[in-house]
Amino acid sequence: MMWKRFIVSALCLASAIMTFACGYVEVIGGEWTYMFKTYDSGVQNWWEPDEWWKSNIDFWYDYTGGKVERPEIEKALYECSVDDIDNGQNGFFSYLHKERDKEALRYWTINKTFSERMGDSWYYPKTSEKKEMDEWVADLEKMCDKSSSQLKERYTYLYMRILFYLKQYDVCKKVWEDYSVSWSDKEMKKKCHLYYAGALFYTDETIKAAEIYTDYEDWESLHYFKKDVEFMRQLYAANPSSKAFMFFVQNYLNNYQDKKATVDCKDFVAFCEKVLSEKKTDNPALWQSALAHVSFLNGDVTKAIEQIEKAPEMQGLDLAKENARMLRLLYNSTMTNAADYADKLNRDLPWLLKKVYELDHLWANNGHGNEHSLDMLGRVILRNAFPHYVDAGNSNMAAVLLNAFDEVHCYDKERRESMRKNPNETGNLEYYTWYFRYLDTTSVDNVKKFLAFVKSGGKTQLEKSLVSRGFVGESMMNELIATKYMRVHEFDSAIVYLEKVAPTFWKKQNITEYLKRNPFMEDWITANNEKGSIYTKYNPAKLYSSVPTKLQFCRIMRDLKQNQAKAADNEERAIMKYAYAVGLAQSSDWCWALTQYAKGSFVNYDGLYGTVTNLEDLQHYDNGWNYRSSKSYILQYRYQKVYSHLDEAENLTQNSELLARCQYMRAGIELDGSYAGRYYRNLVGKYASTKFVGNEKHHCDRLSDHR
Amino acid sequence: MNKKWIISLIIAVIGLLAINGCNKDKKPVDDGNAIYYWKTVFRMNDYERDFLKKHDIKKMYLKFFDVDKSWDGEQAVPLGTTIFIDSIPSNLEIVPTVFISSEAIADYPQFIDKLLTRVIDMAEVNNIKFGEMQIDCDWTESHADEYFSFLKELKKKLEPKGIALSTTVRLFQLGYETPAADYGVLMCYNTGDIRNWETNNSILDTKDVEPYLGKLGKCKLPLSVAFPCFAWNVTYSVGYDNEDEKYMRGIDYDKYDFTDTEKFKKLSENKYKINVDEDDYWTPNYVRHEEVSIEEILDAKNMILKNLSSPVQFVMYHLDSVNLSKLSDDDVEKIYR
Repeated sequence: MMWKRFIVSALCLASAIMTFACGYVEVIGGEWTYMFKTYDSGVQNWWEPDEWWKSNIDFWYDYTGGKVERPEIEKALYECSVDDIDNGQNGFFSYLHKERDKEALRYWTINKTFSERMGDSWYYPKTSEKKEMDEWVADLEKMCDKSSSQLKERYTYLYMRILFYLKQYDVCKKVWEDYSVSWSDKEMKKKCHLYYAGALFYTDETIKAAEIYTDYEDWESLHYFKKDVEFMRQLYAANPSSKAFMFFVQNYLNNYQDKKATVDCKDFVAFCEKVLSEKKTDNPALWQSALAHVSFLNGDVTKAIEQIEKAPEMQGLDLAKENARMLRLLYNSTMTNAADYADKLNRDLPWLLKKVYELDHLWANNGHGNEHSLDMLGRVILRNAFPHYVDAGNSNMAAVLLNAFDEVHCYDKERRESMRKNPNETGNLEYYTWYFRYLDTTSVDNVKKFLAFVKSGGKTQLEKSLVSRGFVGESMMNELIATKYMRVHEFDSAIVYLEKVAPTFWKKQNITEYLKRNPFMEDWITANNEKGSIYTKYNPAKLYSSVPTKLQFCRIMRDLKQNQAKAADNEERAIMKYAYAVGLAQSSDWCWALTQYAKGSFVNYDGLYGTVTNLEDLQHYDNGWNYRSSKSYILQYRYQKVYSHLDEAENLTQNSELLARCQYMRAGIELDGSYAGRYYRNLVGKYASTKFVGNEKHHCDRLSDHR
Repeated sequence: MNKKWIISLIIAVIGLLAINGCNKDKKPVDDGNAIYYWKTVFRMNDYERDFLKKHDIKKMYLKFFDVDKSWDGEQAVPLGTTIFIDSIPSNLEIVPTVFISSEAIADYPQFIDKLLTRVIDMAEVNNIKFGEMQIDCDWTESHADEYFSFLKELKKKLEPKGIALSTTVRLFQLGYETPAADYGVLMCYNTGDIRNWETNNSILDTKDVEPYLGKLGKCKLPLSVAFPCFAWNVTYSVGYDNEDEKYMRGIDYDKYDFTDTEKFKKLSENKYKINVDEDDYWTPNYVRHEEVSIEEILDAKNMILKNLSSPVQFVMYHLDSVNLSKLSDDDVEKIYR
């Protein structure tokens, strides 16, 4: 159940974080991600690649001997309609007319007409148009026969396109098979070859078709195949080492992952075993890892580990071997009771971190989700290793795992590199990370231990590797430790750590504007001239506004506490206590930047590790606004401490102006409406004649409503 | 005289009872039987060809394409156009059928002409002569007016061409104004709320048919009646906070081995709890296997015929050897008879 909670909170959190998670790719590593992946679909895009667009223009530019400018050719190729061929408005087509290039004009007429019809989603060829297409086919056949190799490729391509559309698959195949000239344009050859594969597919030569699609890594087309064990058997009989198995085995296992509770895969397992025993394949790594993965999906992790052990070192395609290595890491990461758990992680985790770090991009080629190795890394760390170390009380390993993970999955690589060179550079990239979220919500002692741990570089191989892969800014840690002390009102300790923070660091957080909010000016008072007007000799509001920083705030709070003993009388002491209470209340509310890292958020340390919870969530999930039963120590501290200081101030003073302010403050910060009502009633009754109430009531409706 | 009058009265009463009380005598108006073909590739195997002959099937409602909103939601476009691999058997009347989603129907002024042209072109190219076309639409109350307007306009366009128009009628669509079609095909399937786990059988449950029977007699549109011959598994997941809440996950046409008690715990005749790991959020938690027995089909048929004076024809949904082979020839004849 604990895991369920983790997943759901991770999901909620991730969705919330997404709105401001600059720099990092969202990774959750849930079991809905496929664990067996040997290819990345989507290599073949539906749009034409830029290079092809450009090379096509270049081709026709050369064809005209440079007599027509490229922009005019681009217009002719990609913007003009069939009507523009003869209307004399495009330079390229005019050139073809001028040169009396009937063949090229015919080619373009057919090409444009066909393309325009195909572009209309409602189009269905009429019988007359089918006849017209037959004429095109006849013309193109002749044009292909007599053309030079230069235009022959384009004619062939158009010819095959139309034949394919007309379902003349046998002719389409023959055109490819009889093609006699060597290809000069690779893209053109690929396009024709894929039409050939399509024609093979529709004439039941699926094995041959699968091999061609695989050669071009056109995995999308392979989705149209019958993807069962029987087809794999046929493919195996034709070519035991077919690269197409990379697709079919993956597809089968991912499908099994989705449906394992309802289907069995005995037939597939038997087939894998047969393939491995016959030793005909050049890619046993794939089959061995497939067997292991079935065991893993079936819940037999021990068997899966035995089976996967040697797979990465077996003969096979790089993709298959890499996948086997990721699986080995994944399986081992689930065996949290193993005595050599860290060693097992150390075997493959540093490799996977490096691999992800070096990826050109972190998203999958098909645009759906993340690159596979990133998902696997997320699954290993977020779902298995990190929670294990949290449960085991090893907060250093928990934090360093997240730290290394965050370091490698930052997509803003340039920024990351730049910030590593200057850790205090402006920008708050690190505040949107998993490791920061963990440290922000774990105990202050854990953060202090972690900083020492990182400085030591770690002891074990795994620790050393993770520390060196990650990055921790010392100022950032000191600032975090101080902030944690501020949350629990230990300002002396906070000052020690704040004084260690490099002066250049403060720019980094980019919270200067928020820090200008004065925590000693009562935000709940509406009349501006009443704010801070109770302070006499010692005016914390003035002091703070001169240097609005966390350190300044802590020093004022420290002094307020220390100077209470030195105060001339109880009245002055009472005002100091009131000011202290105001500072405490404000520092976790209007002046939230003093104690928190996200606007309106409270830290809710809850069992496994904390989550950042905003006020609205707290109200909803945490038994309403009842701070007395709230799990949030910040809420508890805020109210218990603030109220205790107000109690003391009220006991010490005879000054009805201060008493009124104390009541007004209670009303202003109280979250429970039924309590607030009592304070307001006091104000409009007992303290009605004070100057403060007299002034404030002109600005605050609530004081009028309670009369 | 008095005696003669009494005898005449008795004969008349018997006659009336014979007409109204005995469903078996209610023959459909059209000769021959009918069937739907609802796949995207028109290719028939030997079983299916034999089925057409054996059961005197003279009419086939053949889905030509669907009309739905494009991926960007901007326009209605044809999707799932049927590819003709086999030729159409001779002596079989084809009724080109087009499914229009309720989301797309509001755009009909933009596509009505294109739709008609496309149907005519498809029929011509594939050597299909047709005298009728059918529109299938899952319209609900919010789109009822648009659908009726669409049918009126389409009928106007078809009449000069001598093409009749029929429309499918779902049970819940009874009781609205009479659509401008020559007749309707009452879908005696998809009667239940598929999303609701409590539903016993969303394909056909006579309890779900019953509430609509009263409206049948009032329906001015001549009706054929279509009966189901298909099966599927409907899967559900439980709510995160409340295991009693079940949300439909999808329809699965795969065969499940329900005899595997490690994987499936039988809850009732056709409902199973799937053995799912606690932290497995991917696999559905429950499955309801749905198929309709011949007895249920015949019960539904009897109920409908008691309330429908003269069905135009009986239709089966749909031509698929995997499902049809579960019925005996005699069963099929009972449906069509």
